[in-house]
Amino acid sequence: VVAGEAGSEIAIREMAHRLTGVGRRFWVTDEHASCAKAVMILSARSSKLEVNPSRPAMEMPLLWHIPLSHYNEKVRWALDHKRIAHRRQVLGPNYLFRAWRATRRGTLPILWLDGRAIGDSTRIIAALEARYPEPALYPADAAARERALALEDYFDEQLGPALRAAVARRYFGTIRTSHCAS
Amino acid sequence: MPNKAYQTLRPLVRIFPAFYRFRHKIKDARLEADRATVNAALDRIEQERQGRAYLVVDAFTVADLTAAAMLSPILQPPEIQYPLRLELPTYVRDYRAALLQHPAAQWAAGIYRLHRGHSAESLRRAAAA
Repeated sequence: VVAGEAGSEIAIREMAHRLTGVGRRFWVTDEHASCAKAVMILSARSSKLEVNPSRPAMEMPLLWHIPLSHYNEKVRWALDHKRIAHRRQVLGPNYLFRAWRATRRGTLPILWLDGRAIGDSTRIIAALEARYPEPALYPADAAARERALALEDYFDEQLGPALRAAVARRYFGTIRTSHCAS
Repeated sequence: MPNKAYQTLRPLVRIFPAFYRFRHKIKDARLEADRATVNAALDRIEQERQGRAYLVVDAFTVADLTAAAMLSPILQPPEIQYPLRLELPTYVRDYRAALLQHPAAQWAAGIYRLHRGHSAESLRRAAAA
């Protein structure tokens, strides 16, 4: 759906017909049409949102991240270690949808690099290592590199999820409001 | 922008734990097994390191970075850029105190001190388009 079509009465009726499953188009009510119009406008806006990051990313990498996540911390650290000037963006509650649209995986972090969305912290670091080799995070020696990558995989697959599960119970605590005033 | 990030998170804090546990398939029944896995990983760090400063070669690599980053939520080292602004429940405080006794946790805190450095984030306004 493109923005210009969002206001078209025929397109709205068609969308309402599809959304509601109403058998005949003339049975579509005004209420159905209103809902369909809202969906189409949101969809058009969402399409615009997903297109936008690729343009500035040509100039500077853009990181979609979750501040408190350890996998996101891993990627931020790699970017900082290599002194790669980048921008960071915290998405809203629709982050799963936007992440899925960008990489077909509902996970963050996602790095927009040269107009391409890269998901998964290990893949992101591999891409950074190829694009910005110095300072290196992979050892030069092939055997040492293999061992470093195996350890990276072990910590990602074992330590990361286990630590998350060991800490995240039903009650996480309360945000200190004094720090959030501004 | 940390403050903006926390403002975004704040309305979600009431519903987030249930969603998070569902999404990551976290079960109370597996709590001891999960903590045993964490301890095994800490032991493996010490085993791989064998008293050396780094895990693989005599320099900081992706292995050191990943191990320390995976421990960061519980370590909360001073170098972390987005510290937890939570009044932690007692069970987390006790668990954290116990983990910090492990030599691998102290090593990870040292890796943070030596290598975390400063943010390379550009403060140019995000999402300019």
